[in-house]
Amino acid sequence: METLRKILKRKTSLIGAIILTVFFLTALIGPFLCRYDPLQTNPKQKYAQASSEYPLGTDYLGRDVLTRMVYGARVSLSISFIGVLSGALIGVLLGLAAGYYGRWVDTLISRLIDILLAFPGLLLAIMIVAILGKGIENTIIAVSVFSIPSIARMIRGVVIGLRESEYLQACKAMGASDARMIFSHILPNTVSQMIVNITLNLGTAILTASSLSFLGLGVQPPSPEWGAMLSSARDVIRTYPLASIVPGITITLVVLSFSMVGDGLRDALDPKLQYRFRGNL
Amino acid sequence: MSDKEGKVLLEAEGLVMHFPVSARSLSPFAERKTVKAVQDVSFKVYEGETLGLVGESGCGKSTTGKMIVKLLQPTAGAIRFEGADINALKGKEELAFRRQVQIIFQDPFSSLDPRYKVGQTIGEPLVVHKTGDKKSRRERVIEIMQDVGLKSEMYGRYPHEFSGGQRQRIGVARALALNPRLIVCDEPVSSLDVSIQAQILNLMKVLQRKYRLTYVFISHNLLVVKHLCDRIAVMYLGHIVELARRDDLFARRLHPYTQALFDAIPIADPDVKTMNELLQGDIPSPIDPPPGCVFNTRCPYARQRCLEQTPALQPDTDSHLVACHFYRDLRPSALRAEQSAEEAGKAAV
Repeated sequence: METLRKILKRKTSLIGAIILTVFFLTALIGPFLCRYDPLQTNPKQKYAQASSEYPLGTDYLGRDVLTRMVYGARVSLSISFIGVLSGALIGVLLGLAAGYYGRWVDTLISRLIDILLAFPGLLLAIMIVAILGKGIENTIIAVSVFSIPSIARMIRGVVIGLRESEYLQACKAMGASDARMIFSHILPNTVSQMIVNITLNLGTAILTASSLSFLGLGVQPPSPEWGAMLSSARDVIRTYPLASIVPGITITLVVLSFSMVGDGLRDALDPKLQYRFRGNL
Repeated sequence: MSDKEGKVLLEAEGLVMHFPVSARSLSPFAERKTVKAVQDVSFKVYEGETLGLVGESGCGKSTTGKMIVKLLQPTAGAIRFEGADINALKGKEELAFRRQVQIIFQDPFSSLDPRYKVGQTIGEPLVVHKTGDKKSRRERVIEIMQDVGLKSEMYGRYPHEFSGGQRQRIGVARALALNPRLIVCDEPVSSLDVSIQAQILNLMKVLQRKYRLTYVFISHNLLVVKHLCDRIAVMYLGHIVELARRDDLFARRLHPYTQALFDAIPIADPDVKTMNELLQGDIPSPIDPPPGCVFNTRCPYARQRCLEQTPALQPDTDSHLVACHFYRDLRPSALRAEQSAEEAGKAAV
């Protein structure tokens, strides 16, 4: 609660949190409120202007843009969450192993992470999709691989700092097993940094997934996806800009919100600030 | 040593601890440098006593302590607990050893997991050793909390709600939970206020009597050591330079380093003028310790032999060991004679 209050005190984080709340609600309950089917084409109504019938107009096949945006939120949300969380799971385990065991385990894992980090993010994602093929599952895999290195490296650093702490030494001296030290002491003490990292990654993941779909490598038509919608509206951007502006601005806003909330979280959970606070007691 | 000191609980023999210096060179011909933290340290700890390890920062006293509780593997040498080499223990035997030997750390802030409640922290050793059920563990924790002067309603609080002194009590309680026989106290009061230091030291004394504990007490503070220890080992640059019973050491300091160390104890009286000069220079780097006697770079009495030959820790009396070639010549009586001769010479001029 204290943390939440601290985050919401920052204006940017507050705005981000509001946008994200709208985004989550849209993804969760939006589809039940829609009048149209996102896949139902209607050739008579293509490129309809915004009206009370179609609040954001229709696309090149006469499908309601608002409906597709709402369904697209669900797609983006699931890709980013499943991808980032599974990537985080692998990344956390790798980071724990590298930081805790050190020596060759650390060298091996750190070099692997370096290799992943050496590729620009999107290029890595394209490479994975090129190997595995197009489609939503492979987009999720790409997003997950993409988010492994940052969290693994962050966790590794935290673990190395914690490993020498006296409470872990005390724990070792009492005969605790490695598993106990890692999962009962180290892991809980990395949670705050983990949350920050995951939040920031979620935004990037949405951007990556949209980029892949924009390039035609991610979610395939006719599934509603923001990047794919942007891509299909690209040809008529001069004559009919609404169809590209809407998904474009939405992607920007959601990604921006994730990073604003992530920054707020980082400030609220910063271990150094906490330490200073503790030291004054 | 005489048999009235009782049974040997722990024995360290020829302990050596070298840490590789981390700056790695790609060249296979590069010299592998090591920090020689502990060099050939031997001592015995008798059941029920308190052995003090004193020395400046970096003299290897904490490293020695960590080797005793098997947090570090010595590069060479052996530590025997009740006759068994602790570094050969595996599995159940190792757990049995860890149950009997515990450690209390210096920093009461970093020695407690900030996410563990006090009760959890103190009870953790019981969980690790699968002692009793939940209810009996809780009872035991509350019993220990009372022993160390913590109220039982503090069971569910987090460490950040406590002061340094109280946190150190939690650390002491955790070490006591398994009813150990030996506790290594690694500067347990150095980061506390003086008034709190006394409380914790007295608590440790009371607990020692109550549970018949043996302590290895590591400190840089001679007055703290004097308060608590039966025997004192003075360390310098990885070596024990003098080892004696407390009263013996405070009355008769044989090694020049010990003398200098004791002379550095401030006296709370501005009118007292100490005759002795403080040591000059810094402690040499443990990466490149001087050849011969390690103290030769700062010793006011160093002679040629000190530069060539490392003195062994040899008995002066049965229970008073010293590692110095010429300690006999440095006895206060001898010094006084030297001084008076000098003064006589001056007077003659």
